[in-house]
Amino acid sequence: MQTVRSVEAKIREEKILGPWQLAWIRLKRNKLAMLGLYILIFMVLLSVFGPMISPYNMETLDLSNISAPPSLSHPLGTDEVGRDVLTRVMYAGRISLSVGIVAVLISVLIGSIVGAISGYYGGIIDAVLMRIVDIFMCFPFLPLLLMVAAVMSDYKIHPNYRIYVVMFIIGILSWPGLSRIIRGQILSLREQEFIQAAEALGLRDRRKIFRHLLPNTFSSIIVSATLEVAGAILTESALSYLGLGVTPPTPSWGNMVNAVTDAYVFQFYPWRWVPPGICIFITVMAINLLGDGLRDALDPKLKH
Amino acid sequence: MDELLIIKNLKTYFYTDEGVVKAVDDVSLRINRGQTLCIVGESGCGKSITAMSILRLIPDPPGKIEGGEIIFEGKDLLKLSDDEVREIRGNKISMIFQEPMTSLNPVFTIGNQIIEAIMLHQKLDKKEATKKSVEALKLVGIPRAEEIINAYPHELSGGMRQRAMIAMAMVCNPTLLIADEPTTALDVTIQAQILDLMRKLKEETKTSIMLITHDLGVVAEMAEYVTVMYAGKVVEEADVIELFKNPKHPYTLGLLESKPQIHIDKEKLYSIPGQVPNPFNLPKGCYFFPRCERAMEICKEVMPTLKEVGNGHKVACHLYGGDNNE
Ligand SMILES: Nc1ncnc2c1ncn2[C@@H]1O[C@H](COP(=O)(O)OP(=O)(O)OP(=O)(O)O)[C@@H](O)[C@H]1O
Ligand code: SF4
Ligand SMILES: [Mg+2]
Repeated sequence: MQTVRSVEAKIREEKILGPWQLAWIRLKRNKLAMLGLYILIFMVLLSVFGPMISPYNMETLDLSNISAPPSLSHPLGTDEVGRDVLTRVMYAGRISLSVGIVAVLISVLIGSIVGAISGYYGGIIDAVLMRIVDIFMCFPFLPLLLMVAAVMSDYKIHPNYRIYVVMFIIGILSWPGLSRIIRGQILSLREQEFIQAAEALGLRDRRKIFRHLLPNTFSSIIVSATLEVAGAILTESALSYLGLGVTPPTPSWGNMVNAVTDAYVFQFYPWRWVPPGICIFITVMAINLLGDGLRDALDPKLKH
Repeated sequence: MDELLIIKNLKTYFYTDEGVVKAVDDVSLRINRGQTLCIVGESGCGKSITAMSILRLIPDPPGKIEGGEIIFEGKDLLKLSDDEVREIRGNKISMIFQEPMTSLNPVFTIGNQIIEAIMLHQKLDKKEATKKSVEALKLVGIPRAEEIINAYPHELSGGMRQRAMIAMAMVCNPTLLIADEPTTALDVTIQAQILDLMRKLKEETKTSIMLITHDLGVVAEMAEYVTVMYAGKVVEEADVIELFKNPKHPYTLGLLESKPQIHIDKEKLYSIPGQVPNPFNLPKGCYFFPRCERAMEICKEVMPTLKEVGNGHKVACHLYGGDNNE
């Protein structure tokens, strides 16, 4: 009877909190993670709504006002063809963030399906899938991109579509890591009694895998995915800096830094490359802070 | 007698790197409608594997059901297709496990899991299923069931979780409930409550119960019929009263001796000498031979078979009716 009373008392005292609510409470206590979250929200709002408010269009040229230093009408100055740098930085944020997010969604989708199936079935299926993962992991990333970039230029693919290709490539190349993590977790989860109990209820494999096993790995998926977004943004900017990713006139933080083609620009027009550089830096840092905070908040071993 | 489940010569083997483990070796048993059968035996003697074989839950590889028949309501479960077996699991035959702490999925609420069980086997919509799960929780004595339904497993005590597991198992009105050491992980008072609950439910629903335990106290309290297993084989079976009054097999006698008794003042609790035999290196004759105090020459060479010794009491031991002629 004692247990009955204690449960009743507990229910009266506090509303029942789900695991997600508990995680949120824990996250809120982590100052650094919350700082990361706020910065990230700010960057997202800036990228989404900034370009709408801005009086300039990201592509409007103003040849009478080339490489102008920051002023009241152009807070971050203008670039080599007179476009407003602030507007372009905000617009580039849209591109860079969405490349990061979409690439990670692709990676999470493939990674968790492959990882879950591999871990659940084991045996030959696991062996085959994990060899495919190995192959992807040692794929020559840069030569492949050089090839794709060359092909895209030859076929005169519109820069707007190149973004999708970049998202896709980053996504395709980053799922193997995630699928290994998921596989490992499923491997140990499937031995647990609740899976045996689910089987004894008459559930089908598909339901056991995707409804009972995968949700138990959500916390690691969320943590890895968050950290992966940072990685994807960095990759995108590196690629775009090299001219292999998003190409002008579509701005991305990476290709804006690419404007530094010589020491002269570097030294005398810092407003053209410093702002996008700072954006990359603080966004990636914010995501990493948030990701680390999530890791602690979602760790089931840390109760309350 | 109205038989619900008949297991005939069941053989479930595990093929490991070290060799073949005959976890269940030629086991036959029977459960009548409305009856409670207890399976007792030391750890590792194949109780759980017998139970899991019934629902075909043996992990394959390494396990495999190598032979026998499991006739449930006239149909051999071993001959059904996977879909047909799934239809029976959780519906006509349901199972509860030893660890209430880990038998519920930690990321879903209690309600979610019971509703899932209902909707899997019955044509009810979500609302009706929710109502039914509240009723099921009330039936197993969970207070404020309307709220507990939204609780996550970690918020409930072990006893409450095991009640929830029983609610989940009973919600589709099974004709057979398999309970694999349902109270082993609980403390004594809670254990008694859970056993009471199972008895009460059995009386109300006429469900047959196959109760696996290594606790003879539980057997005395719950069973109508008892099967004693040793190293994958049935060594003795009888009516519960007959078994306690007139135990025959030296292993059963040992088990009864090692059960603590309050009114008898003993220096030390008796325990059967020796250990469970190594499954890769079983004796040629009686598996209990190395530990048996009454072993004879013949026991070393010849495996005793299960034979009736009167009163529906069966024993596999050379002390009762020789196998000498074999
Ligand atoms: N997956 C497996 N692989 C290999 N051998 C196994 C496996 N599962 C069970 N066994 C073997 O089957 C035998 C019977 O196991 P089982 O779980 O039925 O014992 P039990 O009687 O339920 O014991 P307990 O009281 O500890 O639950 C054991 O000797 C064990 O070694
Ligand atoms: S057959 Fe022999 S060894 Fe086995 S239990 Fe009986 S007396 Fe003991
Ligand atoms: Mg067991």
